[in-house]
Amino acid sequence: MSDDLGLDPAMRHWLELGPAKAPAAVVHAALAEIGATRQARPFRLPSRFALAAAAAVLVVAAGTGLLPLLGRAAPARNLSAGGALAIGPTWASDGAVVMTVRGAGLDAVDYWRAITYDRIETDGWSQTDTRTVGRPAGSPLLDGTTDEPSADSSASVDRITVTVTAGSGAAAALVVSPGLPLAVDRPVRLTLLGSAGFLGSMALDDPVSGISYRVTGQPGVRGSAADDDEVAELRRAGTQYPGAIADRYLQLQPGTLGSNATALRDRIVATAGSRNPLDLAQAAETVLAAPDFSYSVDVSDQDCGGRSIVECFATYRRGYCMHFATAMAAILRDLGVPTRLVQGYLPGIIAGDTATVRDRDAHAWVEVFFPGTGWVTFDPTPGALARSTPLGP
Amino acid sequence: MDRDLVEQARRGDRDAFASLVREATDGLYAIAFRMLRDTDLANDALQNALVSAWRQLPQLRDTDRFEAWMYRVLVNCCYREARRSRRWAATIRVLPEHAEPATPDASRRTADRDELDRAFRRLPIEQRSVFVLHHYAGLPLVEVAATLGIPAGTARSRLHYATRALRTAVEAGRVLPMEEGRLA
Repeated sequence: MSDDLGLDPAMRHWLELGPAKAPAAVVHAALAEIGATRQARPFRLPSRFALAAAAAVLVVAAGTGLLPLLGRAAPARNLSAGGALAIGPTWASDGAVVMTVRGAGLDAVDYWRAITYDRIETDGWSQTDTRTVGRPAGSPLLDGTTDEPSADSSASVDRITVTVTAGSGAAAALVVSPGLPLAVDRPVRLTLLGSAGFLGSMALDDPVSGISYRVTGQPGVRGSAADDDEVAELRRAGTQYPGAIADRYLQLQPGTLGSNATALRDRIVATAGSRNPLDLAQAAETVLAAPDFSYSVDVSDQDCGGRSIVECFATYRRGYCMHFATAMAAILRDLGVPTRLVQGYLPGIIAGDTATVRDRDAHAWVEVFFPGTGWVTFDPTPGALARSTPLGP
Repeated sequence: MDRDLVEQARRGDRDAFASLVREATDGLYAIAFRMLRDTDLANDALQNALVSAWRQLPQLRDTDRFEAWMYRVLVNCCYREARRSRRWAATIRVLPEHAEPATPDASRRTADRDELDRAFRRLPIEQRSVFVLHHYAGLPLVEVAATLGIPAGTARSRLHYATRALRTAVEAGRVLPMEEGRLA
């Protein structure tokens, strides 16, 4: 009978396949929950949505005991915890309200911005060289960081101030902002990447359930909606990138682009008709919106076989926002254009001066760096903003 | 496994517990993934297992048995995840036309893998746990039985059933394409 219990090579091979390392965020979340980490406030990776949904976004934190044990009763939230972000085979989301936002001028907000990543991994993204800096309530957040808005840019200088109230059941640890954050009325800790200090994310010092904060942000230029002056400036921007940008945001690990991703890159270059970074970025959006790419929150049927997430996406041409954004970011880097991934939320349902933002509004997109202007938003996911069209009462 | 660490953790030392589990998490996660065949469920199972282990640790009498005990905590969490999950219907695999396996060998391996995944997901979770602890974690059957708190005969019959189901799946998968005339 022992023969019956043995494995043939195919079975052995199959059994050996699979992840070899536990996701650091999961371990961290567990240790934080029992109070065994010193540096981080306990937070809960909510249910199974956590990493699958790495797509999506916000760190939701809670003081110990604020959430029911194991979080089953807490609303599911799409989030990533910073650090490492693996792109899962499925993205589950629901209608839970993650925050409400009040303020004037909400129609001008394209995205609620929460967190950026710099390094493209085989299976996702990570933040590297992180450090934390405290900022008193109301102080200029980005002074002395590399993300400080450029004073001589013709980019939109309209600032928007809103009051964000985190959904019930958990306190929001990450502060979201309408575009680049400039000030918050509570003490915050910035997570900066690298010695130059690129903004990774921003957390309240004392998050509690249902907390509200006022945040002032500056919606940046959106590449596909730039006006003529902005287009002219972006096209002139050139490729003389500061060293800190080039070192961090052009990185691409060998093997990220396989043959299919390389073919996709070449298609983008052909569509652009030039090597100008603006043309390339716009072409990437155009190509990824072509009919042979489709949006799906479940790619668990795809066999990536050890290939990078970018190569796998370029092969199957189907995925959710993280796949589209990662492919665009990686391909532009390969073409010498600095990019980073941003996560946050689509605007949500706007009624008058209130936006209701739900778990399913979680989103990821790309920022491309242009000398003189700074980071410009591009969103290669088909229909992303359309998803958030106000339904209205 | 460092017995002192286990003892310190048992007495409530969080840092000791953190050190203990950091050594073990990769192995535990690999087991959870293989039982559940789903990264999200495995994430949840691992996270819950670590929290449960911390809470139950004071009840661990024999610190030498920490590893086996941890397996048991994990397996129980996997059971819960499997039962909570509504995603156990075998997924139908659809390969897009432009996804071409590199070689016939690779193609066959992919097909085998799909058959095995499907067959494995159809197995009761109790059979999967025995299979994974024995064939992947390398525990002798007696040890598997002790870890899971089941009679050795039960462990053996579960392993037998699981192994046979997988073997049947692979063999069936290799025959079908010819019958369907895909080579034509």
